[in-house]
Amino acid sequence: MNTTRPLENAKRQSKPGELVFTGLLFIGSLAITYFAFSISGLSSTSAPGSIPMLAAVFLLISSLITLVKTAKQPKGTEVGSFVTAITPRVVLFFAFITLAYISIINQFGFLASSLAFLFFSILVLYRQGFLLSILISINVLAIIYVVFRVIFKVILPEASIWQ
Amino acid sequence: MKNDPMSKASQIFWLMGTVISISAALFVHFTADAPTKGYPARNIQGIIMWGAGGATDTMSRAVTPYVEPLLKKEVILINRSGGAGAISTKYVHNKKSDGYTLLYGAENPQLHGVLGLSDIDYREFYAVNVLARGISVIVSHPDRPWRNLKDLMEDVKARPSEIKMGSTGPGGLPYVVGAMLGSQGEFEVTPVPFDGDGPAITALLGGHVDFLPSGFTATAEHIRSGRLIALAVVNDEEIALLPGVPPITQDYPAFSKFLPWGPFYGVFVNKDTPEAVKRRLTDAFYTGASDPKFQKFVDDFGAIPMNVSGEEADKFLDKWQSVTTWLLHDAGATKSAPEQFGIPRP
Amino acid sequence: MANAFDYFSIGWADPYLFFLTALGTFAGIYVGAIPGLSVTMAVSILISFTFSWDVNEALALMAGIFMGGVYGGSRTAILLNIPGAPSAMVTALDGYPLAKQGEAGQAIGLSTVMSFVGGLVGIIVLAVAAPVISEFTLMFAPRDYFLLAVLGLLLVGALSGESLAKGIFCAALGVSLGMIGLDPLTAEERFTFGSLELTGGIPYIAAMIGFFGIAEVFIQLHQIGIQPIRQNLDKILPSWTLVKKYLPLSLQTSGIGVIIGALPGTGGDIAAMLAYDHAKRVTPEPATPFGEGAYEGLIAAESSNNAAVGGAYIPMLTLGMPGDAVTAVIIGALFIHGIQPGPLMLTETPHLFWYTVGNLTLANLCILVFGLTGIRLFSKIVQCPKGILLPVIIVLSVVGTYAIQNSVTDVYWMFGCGILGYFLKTYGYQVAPIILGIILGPLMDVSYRRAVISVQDDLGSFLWAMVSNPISLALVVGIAVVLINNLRKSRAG
Repeated sequence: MNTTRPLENAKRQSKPGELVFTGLLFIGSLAITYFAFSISGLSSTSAPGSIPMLAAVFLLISSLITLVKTAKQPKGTEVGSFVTAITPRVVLFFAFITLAYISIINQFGFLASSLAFLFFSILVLYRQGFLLSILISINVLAIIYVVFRVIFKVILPEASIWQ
Repeated sequence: MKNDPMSKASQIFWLMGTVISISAALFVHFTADAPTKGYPARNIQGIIMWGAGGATDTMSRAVTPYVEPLLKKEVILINRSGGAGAISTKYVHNKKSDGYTLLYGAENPQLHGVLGLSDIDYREFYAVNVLARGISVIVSHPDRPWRNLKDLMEDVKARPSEIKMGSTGPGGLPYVVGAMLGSQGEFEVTPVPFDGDGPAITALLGGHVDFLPSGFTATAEHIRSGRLIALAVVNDEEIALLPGVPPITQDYPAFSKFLPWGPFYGVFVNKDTPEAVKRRLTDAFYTGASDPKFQKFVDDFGAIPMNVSGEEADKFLDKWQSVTTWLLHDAGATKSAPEQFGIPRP
Repeated sequence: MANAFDYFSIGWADPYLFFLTALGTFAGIYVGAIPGLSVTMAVSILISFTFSWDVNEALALMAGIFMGGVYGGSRTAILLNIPGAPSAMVTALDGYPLAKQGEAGQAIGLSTVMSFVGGLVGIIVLAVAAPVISEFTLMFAPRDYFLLAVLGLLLVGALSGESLAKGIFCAALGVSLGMIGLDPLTAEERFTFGSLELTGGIPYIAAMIGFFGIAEVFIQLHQIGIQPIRQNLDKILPSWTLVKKYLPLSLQTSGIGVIIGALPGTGGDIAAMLAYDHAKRVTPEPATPFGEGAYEGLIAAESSNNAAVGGAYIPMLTLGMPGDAVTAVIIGALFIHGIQPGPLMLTETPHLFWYTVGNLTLANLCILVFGLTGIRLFSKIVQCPKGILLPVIIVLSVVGTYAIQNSVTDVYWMFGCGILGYFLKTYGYQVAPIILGIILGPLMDVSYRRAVISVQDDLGSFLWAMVSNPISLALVVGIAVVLINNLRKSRAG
């Protein structure tokens, strides 16, 4: 249903990397289809695999349509390469630091890893200096800790490394 | 606050103030929750293997408040359902055996091996307390013609696979009771699986299935109000809460070899937990579960209190596992044979 | 009736119960607003907490938390595009665009008033028609739940944005994600690749936090240096004309909310989706297009999910059966307090019904009061510099996801969904249909198979039942109308 922005849609140009991404989605759909069919095959209409197979068929068809459409679209001119438009340095940095944060949370515990994450990311993104970054981090973390741990009694990851 | 034209100095001042007040708050918190000597030195985590609002959940949350004052620490309960309890079981099994992670579970892990879900069952755990076991009843809708189990069984024989039985999936209570009925002669019904007792009862109330083997708890009030009728109690004698409903052994005496059978609820820790910790927990749960108020809750809940631990509990658990797995195996409902897991035939 | 009024006013007359309901509502708003903290979880914690209390006190607190929690989910949905609860997912669709336009205050004001209206409708229906509605919901067969799920999935047409194919892709992706884990009917493993962790599936709250919250954070990184939009805080309270204008729509969507809420197995999340679709159909020419800040979308979502609260209490109070996860926990609490939930509650503990109605009414009033105060403060969150706000959102998302069931694996899933969501959003896909699929997929799967199993895998009698049964037929007609409508619109567009 193209009611929302028919005009934009008519002259839509593809963004950098879009064709590759759509292709990847199509390959992903192929994989999902394979796994969906290997759940129970076409044994019966009420088999565990019925709805996954149905969903997989929809995935395949829709990703194929999108792939063809994207291939036909003119390449965008207004923006630069994939790296500058889609994954600029700030995005890569933040994705990396978030992933690092998640991966150390079990070893160093919630408090230490969150403090490190907040401090480094606020330092880089907010650009207001070392002292302010650390103060803001401590404050925010204290509030989150009190709300989750003390008031709502959520168990947060505890450091396993010093135990 | 951060957008106002504030000088950096005042921002820092403000932030420092907050830090001090929050540190004070944290100090108060930590002194209140400070570690103490001996077990338990800190709060304990309780993992419930079924979701919020289920029978296991209710049983766990009912007993815990009686135990906490005895342990002098909090037991923080978390629901971790999934994999019919296999996820919680493995989670607790992988935790340190220090008594700080308890498993609140039902009967399911005893079947995980033969159903191909997981290799871990209660033989890997120490039973701190098996709190209670439930009784099952076979219920039907009053609009259906059957008034006792015999009526139903004969109708099933006359119309194979036309009668719909509410079920809760492989290894669930209806499934096992169905297999028991199947061992008594021809019993071909269409089992319609639901997500649990509740949804299955709702479907029975609406007439979307014809009968349902179910836990007594969930159906008790519906039977009392006449919205459902009980065809038989899966027990070897009549129970006080269901006067006039015949025990299943009345028409099918051979059933007694399976009995007593029903779902059960218990608290477990890893087998290699230090003895002192086991004893502390066992004592606390024994005293807690002996509280008359909890015993009354168990009665109201339509379950039979057990309050056993250690070897006595193991005997019960082993028998349950042996009866049920072999029954399912003989009915052709298992993925691997019970002897592969060293479960003896009853 | 005199008795009814006496019971109704218990919770109003006793200052302590009054206080507990108000406190519950206040706490509920925050529980609802924080992703990962769910009302179900809060009410579960309250069971141990209120264990030694009088049952009335416990119920007052729980009713407050429930009402407040459902409402509170809209806060973070509007302000940060992170729905605090699945039922607020639809609220984010139009609420967040409004916040981006500097209208956060007004959006919260309007959603508060309409939540109040929805809540009131739910309570009134509960009070006057509970027995009728509960008998009606019992008539819903598995095939009817299947049809409801299909009807809900058709909403993908309204949520697709620029391309229907992309929308369908996302919905099908959501359905596939929803299938991960042990099949609830046969315990067969689906898409688990032999991993035990995956047998429990991906909690959809984790997926939702990823696709909405994390993906949005990464999109926002592109505008890190840009001054946040100043929020227009002059008009917080919606004008009477505005409320009057949207009242008919709010009442209609509240009606949808009550019925869907009362059906065991469906709750506020599905109610909000169906209501949104309804709003879109009855409003051919909204002042702002849907998905870009249409008040109609906001109203439909907020009235219906709060109306679903009253709905969820209907089967609980008349039959002792849960209408959703929260009422399931409340039923457990009743057991622990020595009350036997069941069909006889209405006659044997008559005060319980009217007392609960009274509590819910009070909690609903509290929503209006608490909801309309402090909006200015909340709206300022959006003005907080992005360099601070975005890292804080990440920490909240991590804690929220971890809180669901103490699993770091879930946190990785959340992050993965976030990264995928970032690319999808960048290339013109909408993430809402994914959540639609995750929530409705499992319902469609089990109810379809249950229905087919009930007729011994005979597709012929399955289809025949759909047209020979009045409820199914009505749903089939509804589906046809939506389909034709969508087709006609897409041709016109």
